[in-house]
Amino acid sequence: MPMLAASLLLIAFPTSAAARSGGGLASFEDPPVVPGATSTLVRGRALPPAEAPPAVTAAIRAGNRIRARTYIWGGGHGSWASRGYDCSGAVSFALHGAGLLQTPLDSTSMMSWGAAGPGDWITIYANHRHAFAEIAGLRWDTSGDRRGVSGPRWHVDPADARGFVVRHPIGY
Amino acid sequence: MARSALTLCAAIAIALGAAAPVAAAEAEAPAYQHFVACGLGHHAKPSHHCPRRSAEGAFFRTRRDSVHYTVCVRFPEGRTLCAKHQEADRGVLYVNALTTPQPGLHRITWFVEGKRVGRYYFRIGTSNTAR
Repeated sequence: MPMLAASLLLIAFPTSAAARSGGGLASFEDPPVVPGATSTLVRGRALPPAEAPPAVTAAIRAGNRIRARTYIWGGGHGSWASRGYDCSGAVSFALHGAGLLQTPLDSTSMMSWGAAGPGDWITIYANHRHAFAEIAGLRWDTSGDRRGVSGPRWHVDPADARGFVVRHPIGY
Repeated sequence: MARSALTLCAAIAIALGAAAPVAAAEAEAPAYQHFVACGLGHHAKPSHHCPRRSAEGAFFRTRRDSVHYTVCVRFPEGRTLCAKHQEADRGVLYVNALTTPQPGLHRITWFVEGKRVGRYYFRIGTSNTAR
């Protein structure tokens, strides 16, 4: 029974790594998150909210890993590891980090991916020219930065869904 | 002329008198905020007693410089776990979620650069008050 309980904890908190007791039942989540259900943007990095499911936290942490890369058309489609990413490559990377996507998608493919409408945690906006996502309240987008800056970045300003098909990963 | 100079002096004296307590209050504000709550939401309140199966969180905020902190929990049976090198930006409230099925008294301690900056006791599952 204790082994079963320990296994359940491992499933429930896959990001808890540094402070797990050896063979015990208790854990301490590491690194820290922010309270509530909305991400906080600090110096360009998104801090996951405590109430987010582990997959959403993983998507945010994945985004943070490439948040300073440049925009490269087609980037992220040949390989997950890339010097730069395009819009759908960046969205695909975050979804892949969450374990929700195995192969990168282009923006047209995203128009029919997942389920219709906004999600509780993750929403994808896609049309034939562009794609971006909203994850736990922050916009994950390669556009909308100041002039001369382009690439996958977190944004606090809300998404403008006009002209986009709205989808979400099933369950999120 | 003398009267207006006197009025000016009085105004300055009053302004300085009013500003002094504010400056003192700012100087006395603790550098760190730390507490435990029985939830992980924005409005979670500090608590020293949590029901079993609640989601406890160890909250931390630095009011001055951005720091790296360590937070440790000592469980009722005496074992200690630490989450080390946690990055905290000034003004942002962070939370380390705690999963513990063990009833009893828990002790949370926060460290910044090896120096203890806070300690908090809370009890899970029993009605005894925390010390």
